[in-house]
Amino acid sequence: MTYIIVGGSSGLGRALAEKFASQGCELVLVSRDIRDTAALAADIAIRHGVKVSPVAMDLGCSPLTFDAIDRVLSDHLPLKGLLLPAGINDDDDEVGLGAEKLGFITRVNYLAPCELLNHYLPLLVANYGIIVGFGSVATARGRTRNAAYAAAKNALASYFESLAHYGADRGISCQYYILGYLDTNLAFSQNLLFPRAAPDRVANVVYSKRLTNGTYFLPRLWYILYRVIQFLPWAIFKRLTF
Amino acid sequence: MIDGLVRKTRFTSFDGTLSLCTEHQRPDRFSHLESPDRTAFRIPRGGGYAYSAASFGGHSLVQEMTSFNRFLEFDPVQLTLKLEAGVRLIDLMEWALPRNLHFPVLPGYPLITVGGCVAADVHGKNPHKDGTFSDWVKQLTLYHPQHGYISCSPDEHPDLFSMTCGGYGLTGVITNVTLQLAELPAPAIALARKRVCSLSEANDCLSSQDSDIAYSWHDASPGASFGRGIVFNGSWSRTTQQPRPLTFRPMTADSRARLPFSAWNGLTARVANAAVLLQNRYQNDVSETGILAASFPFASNIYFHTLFGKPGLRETQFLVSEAKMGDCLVALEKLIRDTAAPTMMLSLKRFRGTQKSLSMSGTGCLVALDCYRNEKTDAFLRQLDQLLVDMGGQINLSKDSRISQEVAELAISSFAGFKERLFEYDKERIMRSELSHRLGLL
Ligand SMILES: Cc1cc2nc3c(=O)[nH]c(=O)nc-3n(C[C@H](O)[C@H](O)[C@H](O)COP(=O)(O)OP(=O)(O)OC[C@H]3O[C@@H](n4cnc5c(N)ncnc54)[C@H](O)[C@@H]3O)c2cc1C
Ligand SMILES: NC(=O)c1ccc[n+]([C@@H]2O[C@H](COP(=O)([O-])OP(=O)(O)OC[C@H]3O[C@@H](n4cnc5c(N)ncnc54)[C@H](OP(=O)(O)O)[C@@H]3O)[C@@H](O)[C@H]2O)c1
Repeated sequence: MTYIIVGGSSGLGRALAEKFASQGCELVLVSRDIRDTAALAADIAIRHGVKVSPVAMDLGCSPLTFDAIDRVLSDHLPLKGLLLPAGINDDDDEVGLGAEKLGFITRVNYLAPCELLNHYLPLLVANYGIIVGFGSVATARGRTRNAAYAAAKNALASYFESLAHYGADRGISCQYYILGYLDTNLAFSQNLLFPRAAPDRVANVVYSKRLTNGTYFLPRLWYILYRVIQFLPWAIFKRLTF
Repeated sequence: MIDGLVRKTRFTSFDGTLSLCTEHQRPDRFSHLESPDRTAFRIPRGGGYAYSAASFGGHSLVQEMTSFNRFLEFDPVQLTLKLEAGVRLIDLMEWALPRNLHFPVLPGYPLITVGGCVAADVHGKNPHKDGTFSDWVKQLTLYHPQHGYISCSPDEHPDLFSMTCGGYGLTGVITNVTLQLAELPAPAIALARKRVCSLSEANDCLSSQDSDIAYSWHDASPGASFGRGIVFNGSWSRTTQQPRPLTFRPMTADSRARLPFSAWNGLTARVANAAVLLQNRYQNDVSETGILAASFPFASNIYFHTLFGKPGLRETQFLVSEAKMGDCLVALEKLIRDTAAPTMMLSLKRFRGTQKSLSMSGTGCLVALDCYRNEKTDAFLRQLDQLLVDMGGQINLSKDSRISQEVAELAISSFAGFKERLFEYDKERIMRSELSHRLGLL
């Protein structure tokens, strides 16, 4: 069985690649720089003996073309899953952000994952496949910072809810994770209030829940924090500067 | 620079004697590695296990290479393995052992990286037999922001290759290394312990044997039991047991220094050393040890280092020719006794290798000495520097965090040549650390 991991070069995507490969799954790894995914593909082939194909693709481009992925997929076992950990944020992402950055953040975090999902949906439905999306606790409530990122991830969450509805009687498994802080480069420079979760632990959970349907918080503590932030009175929330 | 990739981090040398806050990047993609401004000062970092501040420095961006840790290519005929520089020795060995392969030059801690081993040209448990790390490097790729990626080996850019092995990251960031592996002769080591009464007895013992693991440990506190110790001789054992996995809790420069004070002083050092000698008296002469436990003795025994606490320790290592070794040991013992030095333990190893760039290598005998820190420590070590210069000895820059430019010039034969070639290669001296600053390599 083959899984496509979009954003499979680093952070959570890399941890997912290592976990799924260790369980014998073939992989197609997608990110912008083939040097990263080719190195990871070699590593996984040497350590786990499974077939991995690297593909270079910029999710920020419009329109997206899927030829490169489709080409390598034909050399793999049937497609079983699509994991979409790709994501990007920007230090300048505040209300008032310029059009170019706003477009890029929206494309990478929302539009491109949805386009990929739509493209591979028929194949995944045919194979009783698995689709996994990744959101963020930044979506709990809109703040000055991460404005476009949170909006895009909220849109993705909504699209995944629609997907779950669509897939309910079509045999696909669909999970959406709302993630707290991870120990990856995405938030490397930020001073965070809570500890960062190790990506390999998150990857273990994702693997173990791959046949389920639902929305999950990881680490689970974030469920409580998320709800607390959602229900904070406006008078208090507007003063918070996180 | 790409947004969000750099933070301020406080770095501490493993010996705990130097600590400072500087910019820190942990690239996990090639674009991240290449993203800092081409003229920005920087220094690569591996596991951070150098006792000296070789992988950080003020006003220098630290590029921590631990995410560049992928295996790239294995040739089962030549037994060569190409891997990224951030691969840790434990990962290399855990991959190699089940395939009946082995890497012979392993310094004493499992989380040290391949890049750090090349950059300090480290040694293992028997440098006389196996040489130093660079003897097992077939090729490496170096990234320098102003030269790009350069592949070098003993045949391709040989000068850059020899500058980089033992070059302490000053020629650029090593991105990948091709290592020569060896077949694993057996899954375990039969480790023989022989008690000795003096350093010279240990030296004689070590020179008369050529086993796979050979080193000695000694009580170095300046009392009646000075020099008593144990000579370890290990050879591959024909056991049918499979190599046992190594379980350990990672020790870092920060976790090593958690105790707010040093538990080691003249009294506790003597008591601990006496206990080690006593424990070994009742032990079998020969015991079977897994290859990982024998190679990484400090993985499971963290007390020695952690009990130095926040004040830290001083270690010094030097290499003296075999002809001078007898005189050197006598002079060393006299110096320790005369100054009532704060020395704790000492170790000897025989050595063979080729000295390159700033590395410590050559033919002779290595002395490693650990001291707890008090008001006498640095004065004693300055006298020791003089002694080793008089003996024509070489020093180990990764283990001694206080070596001055003057001592380095006298105790590293290729220092002047390395400096000249480095200034030619990296005209703006972009790669900078506290070590390079201290040695005047700016
Ligand atoms: C408990 C313990 C036991 C030890 N035992 C031994 C031993 O038996 N023999 C021995 O020789 N040494 C020994 N050492 C010392 C250790 O092997 C060296 O200091 C080694 O260089 C540490 O490697 P590191 O990965 O931790 O790198 P760091 O300490 O982070 O860096 C060391 C040097 O390597 C450079 N470097 C690191 N990565 C790269 C890279 N990718 N490209 C270019 N330069 C790089 C850095 O710039 C720096 O100059 C021991 C250390 C400890 C703490
Ligand atoms: N890190 C956190 O604290 C945190 C918190 C909450 C939610 N999340 C979410 O968790 C997911 C994983 O994040 P992470 O921390 O693992 O991030 P990461 O380490 O930065 O990895 C992001 C991945 O996405 C890829 N990517 C980014 N932009 C791309 C583009 N334009 N085209 C193609 N690929 C692109 C990256 O590869 P290239 O850069 O090589 O293209 C990389 O493989 C993301 O969706 C993120 O929003 C993270």
